[in-house]
Amino acid sequence: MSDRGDGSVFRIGFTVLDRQIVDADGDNVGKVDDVEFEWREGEPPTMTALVSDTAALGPRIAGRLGRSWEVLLGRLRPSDEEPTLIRSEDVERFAPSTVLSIPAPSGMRPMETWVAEHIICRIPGGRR
Amino acid sequence: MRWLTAFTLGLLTAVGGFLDIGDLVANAVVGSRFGMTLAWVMLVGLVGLMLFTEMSARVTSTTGRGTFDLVRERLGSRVGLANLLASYLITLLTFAAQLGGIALALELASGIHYLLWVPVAAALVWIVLWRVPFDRMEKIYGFMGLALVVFGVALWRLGPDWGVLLEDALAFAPPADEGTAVWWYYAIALFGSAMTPYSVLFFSSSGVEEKWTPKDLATARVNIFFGLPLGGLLALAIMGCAAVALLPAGIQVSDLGQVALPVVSSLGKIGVVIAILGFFAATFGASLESGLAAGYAVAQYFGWQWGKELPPRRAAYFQLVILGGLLAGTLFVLTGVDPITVTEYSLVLSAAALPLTYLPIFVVANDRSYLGDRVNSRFTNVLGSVYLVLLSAVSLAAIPLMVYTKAGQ
Repeated sequence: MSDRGDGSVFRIGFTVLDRQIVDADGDNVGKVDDVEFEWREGEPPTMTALVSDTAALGPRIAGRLGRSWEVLLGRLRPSDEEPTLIRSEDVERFAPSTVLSIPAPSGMRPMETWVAEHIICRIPGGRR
Repeated sequence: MRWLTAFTLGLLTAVGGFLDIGDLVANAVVGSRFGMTLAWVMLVGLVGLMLFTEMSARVTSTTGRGTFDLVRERLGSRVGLANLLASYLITLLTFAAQLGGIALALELASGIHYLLWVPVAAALVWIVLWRVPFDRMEKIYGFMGLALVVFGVALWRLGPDWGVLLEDALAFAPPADEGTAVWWYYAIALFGSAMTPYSVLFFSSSGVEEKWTPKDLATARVNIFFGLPLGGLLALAIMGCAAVALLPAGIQVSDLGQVALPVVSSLGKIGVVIAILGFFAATFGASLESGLAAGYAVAQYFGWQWGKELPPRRAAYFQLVILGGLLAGTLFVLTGVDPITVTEYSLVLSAAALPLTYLPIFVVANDRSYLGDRVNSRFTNVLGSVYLVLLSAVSLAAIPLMVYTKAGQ
C-alpha cells in the first residue's frame, strides 16, 4: 500500500485521515477519525482498518482537551459496544472521498439512532 | 418567469450577505454618520463575495460536497475543529441577532414589545426549517426580500443631488466631524457584514441539497453574478437613504425603526408597510440561512448525514444541532440583550474570522484532484490572493480597532 503504480507516495495523513466516508449507496458514513495498523514481526506495518468514531478523534487533538474529548464522547457509547471498524479491503477508493464497496456498517453511531427514535421521530412530522 | 425563478437562491444568499439585520442596521448607521464615504466598502465586499462564492459553487457542482466538508480534510482535525468552533459560535450569534431582528420587525408592525415576539419568531422559523421544502423556502424568501426595493424608490423620490453622493463616495475620507479610526472601524464592520461567512456556507451546502452537477454551474453563476449584486445595490440604497434624509437632520440610527425613517418621509404609510415587510422577509430569510449554516458546518465536520431534504430521522444529529441552535439563540435573545448590539458585535467578530472560511475554499478551488481542469483561472487566483491579503489585514485589525474606538462610539 505504500507506493502506487504511478510512482506517487500514498500518504495516510493526507489521503486517508479526515476524509469523508461514503458507503456504496452514497450515504455519509462519517469521517476517517483514526486508522488501525497491524504489525507482524519481520513485516512492514500495514493499515488494516479505518476507525470512524468521534471519540477516537481525542488522541489526535492531544493535550487535556483531547483526553477529555475521548473520555466524554466514549461515555456516550453503550459500554458493551466497540467502535465499528471498516476493513481496508472494503474501501473502493480513498480520494477525493473514501468510497466503500459495502453498505454502511450498522450501529455506527448508536447515539444517533437513539436520538432519531426518541427525539426526532416524536416531533410531529418527524416520521416523514 | 423562469428566468426570474432561476436566481432566487442567489437572492436569498444576497439577503444574508447584504440585507440581514446586521446589514440593515450597519448600512443605515454608516449612511447617517458618514454619508456615502464608505460606499466603496460595499463594492469591495461584493466583488469578494462573488469571487469566493463562485469558487465554492464550482467545488460543490464538481464534487457534490459542501465547503465545511472540505475544511477538515484540508486543514486537519485540530485546525478544522478550531475553525468549526469559531464559525459555529459566530453563526449562532448572527442567528440569534436575526431572531431579534424578526421580533423587532414585528414590533414595528404591531407596537407590541419585541421580547414577546421572540418566541413567535423562533416558532415560525422552526416550522419553515422543519417542514417547508428547500426550493419553496428559497423562492418565498428570496422574492419577499425584494420588498426592500422600496428603499431604492424612496431614494429616487427624495431627489438627492446624485453628483454630491458620487463625490462623497469617491472622497475616500471620513466627513470632517468624524475621526479616521471610527471611519475605519465601520469600514471593517461593513466589510464583515458583506462577506459574512455563513452566506457562502449556506450557498455551497444548498448546492449539495439541490444536487448540483457540473451542468448546474451556469445557473449557479447566474445566481451569483445577478442575485448578489442586486442585494448589494439594495444595501447601497439603504445607505443612500440614510445619507440623504438622516445625516443632514443629525439623526444617528440606533434602532430598526430609524432605518425606515427615510421611507416614511418620502413614501408615507404604504412605503413603511412595504419596508417592514422587507425587514421581516430579510431577517427571516437570514435566520433560515444562518440556522441551516450552523447545522451544515457541524454535520459536515463530523461527516454525518445532513440535509434539509432528507427525512429528519435519517439525519438525526443534523436536526438536533439545528434544534439546539434554535433553542440557544432564542434563550440568548430572551435575556433582553439589545439585538442591535449583538448584531454589531457579530459583524466585527465575523470580520475577524473571515480568513478561516475563505482560505480553505481558495485552497480546494486550486486542487486538481477535486476539480480537474475546473480549477481557478490565473485571473481568479490573482484576485483571490489579493483578497486573502485583504481579509487577513481586516481580520487582524478588527478586534484592536473595536477596542480602540470603543466599538465605534
